[in-house]
Amino acid sequence: MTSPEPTGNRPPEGVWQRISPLAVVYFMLSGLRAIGGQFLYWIPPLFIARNQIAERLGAFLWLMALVPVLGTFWCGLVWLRYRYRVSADRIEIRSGVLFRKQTHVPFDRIQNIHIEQPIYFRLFGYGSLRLDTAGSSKGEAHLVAIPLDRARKLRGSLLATKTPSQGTTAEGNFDAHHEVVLNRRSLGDLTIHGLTNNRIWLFLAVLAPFLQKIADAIPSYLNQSGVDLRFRTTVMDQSNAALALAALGVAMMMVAGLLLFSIMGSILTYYGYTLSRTGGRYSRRAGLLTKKELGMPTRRLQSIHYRQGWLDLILGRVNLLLKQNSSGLPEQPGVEKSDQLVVPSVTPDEAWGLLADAMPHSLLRDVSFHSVSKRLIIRYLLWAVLLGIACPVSVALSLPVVVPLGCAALATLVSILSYLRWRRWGYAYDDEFVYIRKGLIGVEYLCFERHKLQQIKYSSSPFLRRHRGINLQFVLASGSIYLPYVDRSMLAPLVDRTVYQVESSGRSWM
Amino acid sequence: MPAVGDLFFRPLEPAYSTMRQRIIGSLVGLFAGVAFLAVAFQRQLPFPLWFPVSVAFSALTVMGILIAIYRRYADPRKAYALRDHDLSFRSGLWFVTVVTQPIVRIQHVELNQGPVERRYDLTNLLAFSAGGQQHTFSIPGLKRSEAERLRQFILQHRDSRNDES
Repeated sequence: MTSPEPTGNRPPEGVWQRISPLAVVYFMLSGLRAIGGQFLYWIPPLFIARNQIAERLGAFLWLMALVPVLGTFWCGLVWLRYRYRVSADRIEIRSGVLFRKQTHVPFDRIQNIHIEQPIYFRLFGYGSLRLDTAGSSKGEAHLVAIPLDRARKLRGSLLATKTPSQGTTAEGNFDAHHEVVLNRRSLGDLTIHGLTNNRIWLFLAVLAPFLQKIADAIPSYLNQSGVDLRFRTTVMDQSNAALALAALGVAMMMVAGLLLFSIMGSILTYYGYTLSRTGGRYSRRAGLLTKKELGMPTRRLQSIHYRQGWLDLILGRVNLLLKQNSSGLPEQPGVEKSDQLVVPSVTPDEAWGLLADAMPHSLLRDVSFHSVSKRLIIRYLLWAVLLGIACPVSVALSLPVVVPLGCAALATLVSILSYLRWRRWGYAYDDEFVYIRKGLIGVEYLCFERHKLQQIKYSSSPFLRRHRGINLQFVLASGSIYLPYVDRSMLAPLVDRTVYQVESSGRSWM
Repeated sequence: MPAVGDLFFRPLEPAYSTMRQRIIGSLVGLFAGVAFLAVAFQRQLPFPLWFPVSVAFSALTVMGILIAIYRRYADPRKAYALRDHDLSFRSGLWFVTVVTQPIVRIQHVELNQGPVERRYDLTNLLAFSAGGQQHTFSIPGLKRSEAERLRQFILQHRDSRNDES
């Protein structure tokens, strides 16, 4: 834990360089593309103003002619402000006309290197070099127009500085013969998954291209089978009781239909589900119409979530989520990138088995959780209080008796839910992991390795401060994890200790 | 290494608060002006127009004033702290938030300066981690030289620790 070394053996800094003026063309084209993308939004105002435009056509055309001139001028300015400098271990870019930006990308953080060659660059032997880090999914450093041989040389030296464990080699050397199948899902499992997890949206998404055709087909089919779609005449003749019955029937049919769709959605996405492990890599293959493969190197794994909705609790099933960070992941042909790998509706035993395989040292199953402060209920209860106030108010306003009764019922419900929500919150920790439990009626257990933390936030309101409480937010590469109302004394074991582990262990998060 | 609970926080440049007060002040002035003009010239404007315009801009004016009052007290409380291996940033008046960013997890650094900030010699430091865009660690309102110093500190720190791989 030494302080940073003084600037003794720093490599000599490079000189600031301009990119080629060809970049102006590139900037203009990307500007045009941006305007073209918003073309649809331009139509309504132009349409509304069409009369005024017609009246002053000359002025309008002048204005239109001015746009490309100003655009070129602006792109020239952008080019003029765009400078870069390559030194032995990093690349620096200065850009921006009004909003100036100075970006520093250290070589050892670069994940992906792309060289692109639009046609107008190829003619002159130029290329554009894009460098991604795991920091975001967009290109952090983009050297728009540099001579192609320099781009290639830069890429060569960048690849050379990459340490083997950072490249694709660690996960790339797996042997297809040593594939171990960890889990398969049968049609029965997928039916349960469809019942417990509403997958209707997924199903609709898959069917979206065909929806219009289906919508067109239904009325004509109904007409053929003699059903009259003009409800109005028939409804008038029915008594209320019959109508209620019919409504109930329709509602039940809709629920049944939704469930059926949900099950079909589940089967469409997860048919033939196989989760396997080859060396240091998980892969998941599934899908009825298009078989998709998702890959995840085990060291990329950030957190594991053991999730049970209320129906899952009744049926004794679990959805296990393995979450990773997909930005900056090296691309592999035929393998899709995804932020998470879902193992749908496994039994608890299978889930714990998979957890033990993925994080062998995790004690998520056996750890005993500390509960969070009871004052959290008070915060949740504020909603119930509002409803509680609405109750006498509505009586005073002599609203129909249903309103105060409804408010009272809702207030009671919210109170019960507040208590349940509080009861589910729990946390625990050991040297390696932080464990969190949460939920309302269902429950979710999750754990993550401390040294993989990216950032930590803690916050408190005056109310919390009075009672020595804080809210915590652990930011991982796979998303952030929130833990409310823990005692301030937990700053030491949860925040300080975790940050210390990140900084002292020297272990990578991926 | 001090615990995160008792870090020594340094406030931002006083110019930061001044700049933000002036920006919101001029916006409030603009909104109030538009609202006033809409009411004053209601006869010249077609009827359905002046009413929503004046209401909307009055609402914006009130909101702007509230934001200005909040910032008047909240901005001077924004502060940052530096330890050997991490940066922290504290903000908020009632709801106080502290973000701690370990330097080893920083992917790349950016210094940003808008046109107004340039006049006050203020710079934003952005440190990107793999936590994603919405968790980008940022310290606004730094003097240019201080921002450069922090960036240098971050980059040198990384040089001295090549075990992160």
